[in-house]
Amino acid sequence: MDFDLLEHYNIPVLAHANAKTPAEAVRAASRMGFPVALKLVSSKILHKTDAGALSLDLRSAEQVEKEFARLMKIDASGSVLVQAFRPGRAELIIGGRLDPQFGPVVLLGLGGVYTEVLRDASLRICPVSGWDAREMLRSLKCYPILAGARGSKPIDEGALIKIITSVSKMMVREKISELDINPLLVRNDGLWAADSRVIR
Amino acid sequence: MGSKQNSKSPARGPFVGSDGMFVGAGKYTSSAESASAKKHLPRLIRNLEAVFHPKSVAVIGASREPQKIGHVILRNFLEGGFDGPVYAVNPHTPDVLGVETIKHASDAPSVDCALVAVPEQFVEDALRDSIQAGARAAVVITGGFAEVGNLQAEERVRKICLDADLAMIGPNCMGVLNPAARVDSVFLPIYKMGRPHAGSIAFISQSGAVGGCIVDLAARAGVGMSKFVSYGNATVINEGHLLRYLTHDDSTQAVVSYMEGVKDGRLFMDSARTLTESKPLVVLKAGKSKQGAAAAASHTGSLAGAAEVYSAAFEQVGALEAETLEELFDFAKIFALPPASGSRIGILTNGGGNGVLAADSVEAEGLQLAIFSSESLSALKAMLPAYTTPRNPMDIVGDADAARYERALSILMKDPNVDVLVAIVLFQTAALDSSVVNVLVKAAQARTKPIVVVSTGGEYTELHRRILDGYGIPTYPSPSSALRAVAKFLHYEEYRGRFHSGESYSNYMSKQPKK
Repeated sequence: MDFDLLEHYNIPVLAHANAKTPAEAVRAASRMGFPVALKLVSSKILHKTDAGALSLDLRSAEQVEKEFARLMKIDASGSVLVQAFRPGRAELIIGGRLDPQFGPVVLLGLGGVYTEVLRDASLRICPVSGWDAREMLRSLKCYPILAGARGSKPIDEGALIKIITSVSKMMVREKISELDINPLLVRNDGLWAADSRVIR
Repeated sequence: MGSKQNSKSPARGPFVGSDGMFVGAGKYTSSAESASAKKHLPRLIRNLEAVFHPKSVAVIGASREPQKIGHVILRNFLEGGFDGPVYAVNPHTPDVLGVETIKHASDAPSVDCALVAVPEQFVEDALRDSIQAGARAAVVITGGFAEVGNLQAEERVRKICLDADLAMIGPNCMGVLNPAARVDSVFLPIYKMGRPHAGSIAFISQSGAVGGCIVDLAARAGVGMSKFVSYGNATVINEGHLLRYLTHDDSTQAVVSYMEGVKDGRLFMDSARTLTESKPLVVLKAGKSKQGAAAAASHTGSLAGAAEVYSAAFEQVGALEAETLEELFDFAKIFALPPASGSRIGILTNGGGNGVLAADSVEAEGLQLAIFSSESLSALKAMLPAYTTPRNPMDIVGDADAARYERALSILMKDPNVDVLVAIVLFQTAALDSSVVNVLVKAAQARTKPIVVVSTGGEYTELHRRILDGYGIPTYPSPSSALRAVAKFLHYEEYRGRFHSGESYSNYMSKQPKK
């Protein structure tokens, strides 16, 4: 499971649990607090949004049960991930890739669904030092927003730098060819990975 | 790739060496290859000394025929004033260019650097003979190796060299220049390709063809060079070794690199980062067009294509990326200037429109237009004709002569609000004569602040620009090219400034808690 790998490298992940039955899903949702999201975990699906394999912002046990049933219809052999659904002030992407010339590289950028449209990203070759990570953050076009433009709370730079250097370690140690942590939510209570994708 | 792991630390992935550092990867550099390269590194780099300052040379494949490479190289050494023994190796001819030949390099009393221009099948013997004669280095011009798929021959050559720590440049290269030591193994005849005078810029080029064109242009423009190396297939000596050598080369103040790809990513990163702590590195990476990006399965894969990774690598090590061949030396030559104290630009011009263009470029490059001090403004008002207005850009108008330039320059060079001065000089006006060159040289040589000259025009203008460049005053054909170079200059000043202020990469790292 991708989230286990992230947590192993001390990257904070939104509360989440696997559920095999609707009852398990509801129990998990009550434990982490509503609203929650359900995600179908299936080897048959590449893009969750496109396949309708995502149910977001579920606010009651009834909604969870209904959506659980809907997801199972898409792929009965899959399982369901219950995850806390929390808004972020901003969404970042942290990624990694194995470059044929330079080896593992780490990417930081503006995340969310428009990642590839806006292409506001910065790259570094591993190992990425704290120094490099800070430079990456400050070179983003969206940095002024993250740094607290118009009176918003500035991003915890130290926490972000830690996550970037952890991802660098992960890219160097694990055999990962491509990695997306997207979105990484920027919230008042910290930075949280909400979704990730690891290609080995 | 990267199958060999450190047995003591099984947790480490394929890219981590015994020192915990990343050791490079990719189709050219398995970790095993990197490890073997590491063992040879210090001696190979020491032996590069024999490439640039050979005690003696042997031209292997010396020929009587003027169009042959072995003829041109021998002639370069004989007529160029190289002051060590020069041996001509050719088993079939008794003498070449008046030099009695020897049959093998090993027949010479001693060979420090072998210059190899024999057909591919004789290269291995030529290298063995040279090693027997005590060679520390070789430059192999001969092609026909990996570039045409002949990987086995290239691997054999590599082994011969590494076993003897022979610092071999090439194969498939165009040669080496060190103007100060009269070393010239470039096989393009002197009457066809100009040679630059001795200067402070080193230029390393993967491509011989591009290298030759740029050296020719630099020679014509009056830009001095400390070294030129066309390193071809980089079988033994690659860009990383050369950068490491140049870091410690006192005659080199700036390094320019043309590359189509790095041979050893890790070595490049380490060498370039060390170099840029003391000297600027300007890089042009060719072959950056998008390829394979569309096939990426992740957002990261799509955003981190080969071109983006190269740019990131350059930025990470403090290298300045040039987009065009012209920019390589536009950027490199500006580093002859004294340091700037900030990014406020003063503009002096005898043409109004050119001043406006320059002001636009100042903004486009993210720099600031200086606000002249009140002392400067009143001094300018006092000396200028009534029909001019003291302000930045300072237009001293079309009837300005050298004396007016001199007075205006002396005021602006003293202005504490001006960090960099851009002097636009339109040589086309009737009022201006060549003596303005002396005025500019005098102002620049006081080295109170950086000054660049912009002169747009034809032959007459170019002639004057060349003289200024020869004095180490960077000149540019347009305001935009000048301010792009100024922006790179200031960017690097800022990067290096962090080292001097103690906010360096290594200091930052040492203050981090150990994990």
